[in-house]
Amino acid sequence: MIEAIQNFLFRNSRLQATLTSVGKPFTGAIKGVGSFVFFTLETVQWFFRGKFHVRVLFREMVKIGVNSTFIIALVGLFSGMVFALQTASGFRLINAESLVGSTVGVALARELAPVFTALMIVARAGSSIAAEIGTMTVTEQVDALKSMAVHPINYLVVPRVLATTLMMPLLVGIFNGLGLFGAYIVSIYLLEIPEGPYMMHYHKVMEPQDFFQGLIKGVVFGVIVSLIACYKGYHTNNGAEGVGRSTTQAVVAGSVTVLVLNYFLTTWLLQLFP
Amino acid sequence: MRKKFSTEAKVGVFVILAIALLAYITVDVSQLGWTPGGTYKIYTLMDNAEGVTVKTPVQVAGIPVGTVSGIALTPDRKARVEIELRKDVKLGDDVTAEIRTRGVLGDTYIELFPGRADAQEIAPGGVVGRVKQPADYQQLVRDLSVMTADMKEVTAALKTYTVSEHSYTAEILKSTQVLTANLATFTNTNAANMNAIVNNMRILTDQLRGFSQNSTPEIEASLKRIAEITEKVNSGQGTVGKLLNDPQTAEKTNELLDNINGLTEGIRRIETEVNYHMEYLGSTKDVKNYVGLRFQPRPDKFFLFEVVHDPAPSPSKSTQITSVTTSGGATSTITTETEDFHKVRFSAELGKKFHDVTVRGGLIESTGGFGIDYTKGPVAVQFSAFDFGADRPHLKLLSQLNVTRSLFLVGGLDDFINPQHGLDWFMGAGVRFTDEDIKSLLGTASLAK
Amino acid sequence: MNPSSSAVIQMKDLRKSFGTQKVMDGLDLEIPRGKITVIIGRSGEGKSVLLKTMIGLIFPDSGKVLIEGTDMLELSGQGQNEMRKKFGMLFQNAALFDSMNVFDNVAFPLRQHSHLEEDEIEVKVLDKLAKVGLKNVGHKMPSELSGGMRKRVGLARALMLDPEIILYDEPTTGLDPILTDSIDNLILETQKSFGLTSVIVSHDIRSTIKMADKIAMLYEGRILSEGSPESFRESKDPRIQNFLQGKADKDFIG
Repeated sequence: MIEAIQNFLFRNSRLQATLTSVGKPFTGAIKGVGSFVFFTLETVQWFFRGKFHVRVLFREMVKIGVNSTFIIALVGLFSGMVFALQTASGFRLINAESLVGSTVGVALARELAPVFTALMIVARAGSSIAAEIGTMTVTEQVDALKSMAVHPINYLVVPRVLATTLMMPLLVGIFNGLGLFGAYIVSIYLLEIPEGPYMMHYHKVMEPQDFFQGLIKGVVFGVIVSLIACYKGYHTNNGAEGVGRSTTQAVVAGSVTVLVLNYFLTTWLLQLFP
Repeated sequence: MRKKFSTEAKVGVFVILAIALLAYITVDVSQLGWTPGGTYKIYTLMDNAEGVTVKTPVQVAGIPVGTVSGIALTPDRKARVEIELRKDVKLGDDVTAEIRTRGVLGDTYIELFPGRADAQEIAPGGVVGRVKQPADYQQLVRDLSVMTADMKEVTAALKTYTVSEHSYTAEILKSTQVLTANLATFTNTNAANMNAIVNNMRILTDQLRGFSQNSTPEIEASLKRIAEITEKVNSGQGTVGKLLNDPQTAEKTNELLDNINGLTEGIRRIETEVNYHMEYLGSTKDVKNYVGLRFQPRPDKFFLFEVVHDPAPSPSKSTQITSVTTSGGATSTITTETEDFHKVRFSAELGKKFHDVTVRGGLIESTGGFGIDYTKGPVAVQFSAFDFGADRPHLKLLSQLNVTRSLFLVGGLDDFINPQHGLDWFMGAGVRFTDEDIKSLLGTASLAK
Repeated sequence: MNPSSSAVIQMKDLRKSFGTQKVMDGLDLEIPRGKITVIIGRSGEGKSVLLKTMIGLIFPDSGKVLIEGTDMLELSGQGQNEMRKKFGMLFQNAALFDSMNVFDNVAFPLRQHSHLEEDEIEVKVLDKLAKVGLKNVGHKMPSELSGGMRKRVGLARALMLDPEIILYDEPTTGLDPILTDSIDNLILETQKSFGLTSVIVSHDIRSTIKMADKIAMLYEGRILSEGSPESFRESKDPRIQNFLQGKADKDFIG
């Protein structure tokens, strides 16, 4: 009898342990989301009330924006080129190759440019932000900032988020421009699609709001990607290994967020700009 | 310090380049782009603005000049379409708007038809008064389905008409029967008139016989002379005889025959016109009928033959007419019978045109006379003078208005200087057919068979 | 003497745990004004946590941290930031900003909190660097410096805003004895010349005895003992004696 009760309790406690271990990632994820929200609110608060670190902002604009120009231009150019190549092979089936320009144009402006740029920025700037802040956290540089009455969110996070947010739409624009150029080159000179109908359809279909949608997406992605990178860096522990983990997490979380958020943004923007 | 500057310079260059690129690709695709002159708005009310949205292109003569900047439903359930146009595009206030579609995808656009060049310019905020509703694809489909339904009905009806006992064919046959019956009745009831006509004919032949009996010796003399002439001709005497018996004559005759052939060719080219018109006489309240035949071998020449039926000829006229009948040379007494006969008179005139003026002369209503016509466009004024044997010549002033090629109206004054009665006015209408018309009528008729 | 009047920092009943590990378990400590207080204890006892709690880098689960009578924990983020201006802190590995050279590191607090011109900043920075015995290193990056030099730069940076309280987190750990001595001397000199309140976390007994006005020993989340170096030396508590003599606990071996 006693044995049976003990057995039951034992088994029950094991059951509880199992439940706890299963539930732990979930509670962890929920805590993480909550922590991220607080981090975001704190960033907004420091953005409005804190000191404005112009020099840091400029340095970050160079690091995030200017230094990404080449890679963004390159990726944009080849994205446009390959997309033109693929759409042309499809349109050729119905003898509508002249629609390549408008199709690539809309796809670039609305989806490819903001998403690809955001992914590139996640990979390039997001990882570096996470690594930098993470290193500063584990080497007590963040604490040192605090000890010198400089709040790290004000000094580290706000300029990086702001710089990314300001640079993203411009990078999206560069991606877009180079993508259109790449598509044009491939279509007109490689595939020898007649330029007149190509440009005619392009001008007929494209509207400034297409670019505007891309820019809005760029801004939103810029905010979210930089916040995630800063958050991951800021909450780094366990030394160098932790920095590596934070960097990876920043890239993964950033990319996934961009792709998922893009769906919802598209839905909302299609409501706004039918 | 140099480093700080270079940071700012880098950001500056980057931002300027990126914004320039963005601005270029954005302006490049703007429908209106950046219109330096600005824009203005006009409105149009449409019953159906299907397919029109904000940014729908607006064209004049196929050139994009603006876009639709707003659409709304008015309280009376019409579509109010606001159109934004480039300022340098000027349109008249009689501008017409039409919704059109193009391409397989049916892209909608609005075409503006600027209207007359001298129209007043439409002001900003003005309303496009005229709207052509589109013969759009949907409408086409609807129309087609309606038409199909109609055609089904027609076919069904035709079936019943031809098959059933109460069909059209049967009814037409019935109608024909009735018509024939009516004709029979008509001839029966008018038997008296017919008899009168036959009577008149007999009297005429009697007179002619009397005339020929009285002049038998002269005829005999004439016949003798003809015999003599023929004799002479045969023997080659006289000019005609010589001509006929001369071998050269044969050639000449051939030539002549050729000429005659040419002539007949010309005759074939003669324009023939059949006309009929009636005049209602204001004084006697009678209707005078005219049936005419007009030959026009050349544009400036014509010959007119006309039969006039006057149901109530004035007595004075009847005396005139007796004088005409005596023109054959025979002296005859005036009888009342002849009055009836003179209800029908003839005209035979030759005419020549000089520009708008036509001069004609000959037999007019069985008496000698002449006339001058003036024609200008559809209006013609004809003046005729005849029956000079009476106290006063018969003058007639007729004005004619050609309503169509075949239909015309007449009106005027008849015998207006005759003291026996007052101003005699008339009015009426008529029809006219040329041989071309007849040909085409016949053609149509034969086709209708 | 009322301790609260002489104490710059008072910590009352502090409790803090990371997960299941209790780092502070009802800790009470007062830091006297104008003195050097050395906190000793074994590695992992939470000495650094205690130091960071004083400046508000780590927040206890419960308890009070009074800085000149003001509860740090009840202040807003901005208020805490202002309060930290009273402090200077030298971190264990100096925590110099990797992205800046030595000059910019030392100038950082001035640039953040003063409106001085660059030439004035330069004068002050070179002065402070000279005080910690460094010359012609302004252009060097932290990675190019030795551990001792880094600590000196860190000290120069911590002293830049002329703080009332300076916190040293293991200033001599990982340095050779000669360097240790020079750092110790630097701390003492600083103490004398600036007349500030110093809190040192250390497990270097020799340095501690040499410099401390007051020693507090942290043991299992509480202050086991506090007093003058003499009182410590004469303590009968085996745990203190073991620590002072560098002997391992029996249970530690066991």
